[in-house]
Amino acid sequence: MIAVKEGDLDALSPLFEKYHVKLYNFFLRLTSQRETSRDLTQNVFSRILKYRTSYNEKHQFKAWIYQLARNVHIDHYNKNRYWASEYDDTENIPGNERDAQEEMEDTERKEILMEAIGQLPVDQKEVIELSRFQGLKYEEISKITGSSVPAVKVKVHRAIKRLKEIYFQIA
Amino acid sequence: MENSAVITFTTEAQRHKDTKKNDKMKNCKEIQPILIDFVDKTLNEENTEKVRLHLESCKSCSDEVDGLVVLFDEMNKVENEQPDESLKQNFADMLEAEKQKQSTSSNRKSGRKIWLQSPLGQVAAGFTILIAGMMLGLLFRSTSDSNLEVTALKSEVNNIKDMLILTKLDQPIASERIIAASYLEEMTAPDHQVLEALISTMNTDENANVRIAAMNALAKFKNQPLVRDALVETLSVQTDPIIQISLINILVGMQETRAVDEMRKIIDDNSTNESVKKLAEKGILTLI
Repeated sequence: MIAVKEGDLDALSPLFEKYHVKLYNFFLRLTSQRETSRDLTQNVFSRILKYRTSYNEKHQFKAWIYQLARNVHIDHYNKNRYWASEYDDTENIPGNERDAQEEMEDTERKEILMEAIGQLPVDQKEVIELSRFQGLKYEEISKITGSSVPAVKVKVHRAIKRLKEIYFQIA
Repeated sequence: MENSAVITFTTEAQRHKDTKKNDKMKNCKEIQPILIDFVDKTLNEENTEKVRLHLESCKSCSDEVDGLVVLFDEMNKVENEQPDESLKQNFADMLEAEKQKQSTSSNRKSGRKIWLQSPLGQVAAGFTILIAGMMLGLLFRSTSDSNLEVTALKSEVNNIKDMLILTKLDQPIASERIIAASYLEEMTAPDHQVLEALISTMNTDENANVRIAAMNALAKFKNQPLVRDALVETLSVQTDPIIQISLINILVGMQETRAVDEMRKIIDDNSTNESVKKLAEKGILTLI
């Protein structure tokens, strides 16, 4: 990223390769919309280009990119919450394909999980996404969200507890 | 004498049992916050052992662990989905565009171009070109020539605005299209093509919010015959009550008598919303 900041824009390509699928899925699980998720992922990289001169070498790139992603999602969420529910249908995101029977069961269980996640408030969804699906450590999440490590821990624990309750209620 | 001895004995036993129960409760409180880390196997040896011992004797905590194992197992099975190729292609395009921008202005240094990427920035850039053009005109040309140049540059700026609206109206995200419609309201004399595009948005866009934004933007130019006709015609197309209401208000405000027939039809239509019917009736009274 330092190379990008100094003007070597091609240095952004490997970073795109490394992060774009993760970010796309980050948005996909938060919004349940493929097209929106593609736009938002693109948006993150456009912000990286836009703000590249303000990148601070002392910070980890990983934390920075998730910070941008989080802001992109918050902006999108605020912009759309008043009419999104009325006009956009969320898509079903099924599991990857394998043999029929197993696949059916898996898909079903995955749908239950996604439904349970969908029922969480947006801030809990976000910490679940960051800590479980993106596999970030509490320290990293604390850098991204600006909360202290113990506060992040408490938030993650509460979110998991709530998710577990909803999940077993539906299942 | 004998009785009192029995009593002493039972209270002793009770106290013993209570402390044991309290100990266990205290233990649960201590154990619960680290259960997730236990399942994730990120605890140190000492704590892992502590949890394991506690679980042997505590049903509710071991149920908790079982639940977490199932949930985490399920979450670990979730695989990332691959986005389609357009994402990669768009990124490549974006990078290429940024590189070109970089090479054209490489001699200007910091504080650069963050503003150039926003639509407003682009309009501002247009104005900068305009002003630069004016300066050049003053320096190199006679007054009449520079006037010509200024007019040319002005129309260039207007073209940029027009282009912005036209491209934005094609965006897949509804809010982007609403923004495009609102740009129009800032313009004094929009291009024919832009008006046409907006009229078609008002008539055909799938999103009611976008249609209403387009309609409100167009209402500002109601003295142009093209817009006037379109507003009259769209009354027969729109079925959303909110749009019908705004539209009737606009048409009545315009004193547009040609709308009367269509408003009669709306009143006769059984599927029309009651408030819309009432408003249309009132509107007709004002118009005739």
